Amino acid sequence: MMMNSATAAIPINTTTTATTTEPLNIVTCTLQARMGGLDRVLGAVTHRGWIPTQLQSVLCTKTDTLSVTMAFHSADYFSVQKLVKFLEKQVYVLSASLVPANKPSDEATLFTPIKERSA
Amino acid sequence: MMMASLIPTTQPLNAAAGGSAVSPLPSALTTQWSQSGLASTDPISGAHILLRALIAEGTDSIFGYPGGVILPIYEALVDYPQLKHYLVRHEQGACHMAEGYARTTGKAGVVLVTSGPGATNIVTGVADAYYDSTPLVVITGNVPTAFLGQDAFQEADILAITRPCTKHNIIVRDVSKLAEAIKEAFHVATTGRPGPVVVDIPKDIINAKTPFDYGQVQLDLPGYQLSESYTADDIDSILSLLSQAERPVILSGGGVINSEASEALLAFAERFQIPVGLSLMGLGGFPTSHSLCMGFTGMHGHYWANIAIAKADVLLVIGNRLNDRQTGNAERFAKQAKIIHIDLDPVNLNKNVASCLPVQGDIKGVLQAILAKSESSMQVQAESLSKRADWFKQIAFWRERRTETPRHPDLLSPQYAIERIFANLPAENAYVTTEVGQHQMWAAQRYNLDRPRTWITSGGLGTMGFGFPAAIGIQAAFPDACVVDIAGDGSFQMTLQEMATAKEYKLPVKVAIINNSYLGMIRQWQGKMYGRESEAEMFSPDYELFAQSFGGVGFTVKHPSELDAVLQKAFAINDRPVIIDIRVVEKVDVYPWVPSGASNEEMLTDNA
Repeated sequence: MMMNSATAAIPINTTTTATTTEPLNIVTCTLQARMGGLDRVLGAVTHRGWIPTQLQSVLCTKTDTLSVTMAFHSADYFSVQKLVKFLEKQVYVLSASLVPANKPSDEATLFTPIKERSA
Repeated sequence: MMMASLIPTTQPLNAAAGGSAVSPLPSALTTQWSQSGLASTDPISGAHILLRALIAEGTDSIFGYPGGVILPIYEALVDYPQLKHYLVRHEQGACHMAEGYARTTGKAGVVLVTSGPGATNIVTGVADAYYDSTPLVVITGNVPTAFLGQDAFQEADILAITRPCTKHNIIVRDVSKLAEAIKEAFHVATTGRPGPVVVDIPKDIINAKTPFDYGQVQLDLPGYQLSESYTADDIDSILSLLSQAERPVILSGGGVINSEASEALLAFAERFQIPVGLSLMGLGGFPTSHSLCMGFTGMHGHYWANIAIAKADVLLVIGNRLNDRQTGNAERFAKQAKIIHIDLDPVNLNKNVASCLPVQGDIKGVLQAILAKSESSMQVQAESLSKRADWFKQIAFWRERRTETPRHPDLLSPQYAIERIFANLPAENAYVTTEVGQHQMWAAQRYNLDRPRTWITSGGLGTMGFGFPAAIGIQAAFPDACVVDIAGDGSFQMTLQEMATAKEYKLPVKVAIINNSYLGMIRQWQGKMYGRESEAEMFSPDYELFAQSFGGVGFTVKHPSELDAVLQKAFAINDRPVIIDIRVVEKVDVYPWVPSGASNEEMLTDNA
């Protein structure tokens, strides 16, 4: 598969400027590295009207899995929980969880620094 | 038997003429067959792998339409007479036919279409299957892998297009993975909460060759767990709540039918003496003739059923996702009730309405577990009956305020027409489909069949044009059945070209058009919400002549006195499609009606 030709990891970061004071939600998701899997995860987030302030996908070639971490702001905790349940039932998703994050620093520590993209 | 039937018995015409340029078929002389008849140690093309995999999965019918990139599949199809192919007139029709087939047989419906427009034309049908939890396996061809992303002729990124409206979708980029993809598709489509799966196969994969042994194919889906999270404590909690309940109600949805839990639900309701309301998708899951059945609930549901739910102290929601058409204003839905919500899909629990006891598991299993743990049947039933006598009296009182069917010696009301359709259905082996609109609601209110999988309607997506092709799919699965599509004149005009399909395969589907010359539900809502109509009146062709022009039979009914005789004559026809054009009173509204934003208790029961 195309993704398997990668080296150890491909971090992909997108950073947007947060313009909201709504609470930060960080969702992590591990899925099989198969075509279409990542689309479903990202589509589920954007369909609900959230744009991640940070987004990272790391391929583990040993396990052939993708680890996806997303941060986005929403005060609708109920809808965020429903998102996680929806992600969990996607066929290629192995696990999904909501990481409690109360401080802006939590967001920073969860993501690989963007400079590693060139590695 | 399988082996004998799978071996090509005749040389394909194109091979005799020098061989196929696109997909040379395996020769029976050189191909080594395994004992199962499904394997070939000689490489065979993706086209043959696909068709053999479909047979291995129990497929007997394919609804499809050929096109450029899937020509090799259609060329190979000739060698597999056990796969009956229905050539549709539009790919959307293929999906709805497969839906009708799937929802009545319980098996996955199979669709085969080409790339580009063939693929994009399936989207409505796939989305319909997704929202109504219908197992479909939809095969789309695509341009060769080297052309993907090049804006090639008839290229479409159907994976991206169908991502949000499929349970799962797959593109096959390696022919050695094709068999696995098909096995994966059937497994995902038919297990857990059923749904549609799209398998996209580029043309070079269709033509590429590899050895094939379906028996050896392993699924690699570690994340797809068919788990249940309910515990023995949950069962105890349900029994405890039921033992205290004075005004319990069951709200049964389509999940009961998908789970084959109708018998368990009947035993459960009888043992605990609980009245049962049915959602639009749940009709058929509980016998309508049963004294505990309250029938159709929701936006246009029966008054007594909606009020009983509103006044219940314990509400068991079983296999129902509680969408807005069911609940009315969700914040005021069943406010007096402790809600027990049983569903296989964890996403449905606490999604739209919070429950005090969410129970995630297979519905049949949960109901059987409750029955197994409850006290002896007779004792519980006697205690429940005595405890709920007042409740049943109250429901009977509400029942008196039902919306009566209008009867007039000269005017043909749509409600009366639909009532007579149900009255004239044969007692056995009848199926009813509907389109979407007023006629659908009137039919749901009057549905009177007692068996599950006999009521096939588009509930979640609300697809006009669904009912006629769905009826064709049902008739294909049950050639001797009486399959009636209760249609509106607006809906029928969306997929009426499938009349040719019905005629070509001698499928005697009956279409009863409740013809009011309007998009009736649009007219009703416009009148109530805006006080005037806009683009709701609609011209129709002469359906009697239309039917005849396709080789079918057409009837026109204009007077109530003609109706029964025509219906009996039409329902007896068994070799051609039939259209019954029933010219009803034009401007009639559906009641009861819960206006948008109101609670179910605030339903309007008449035009006052």
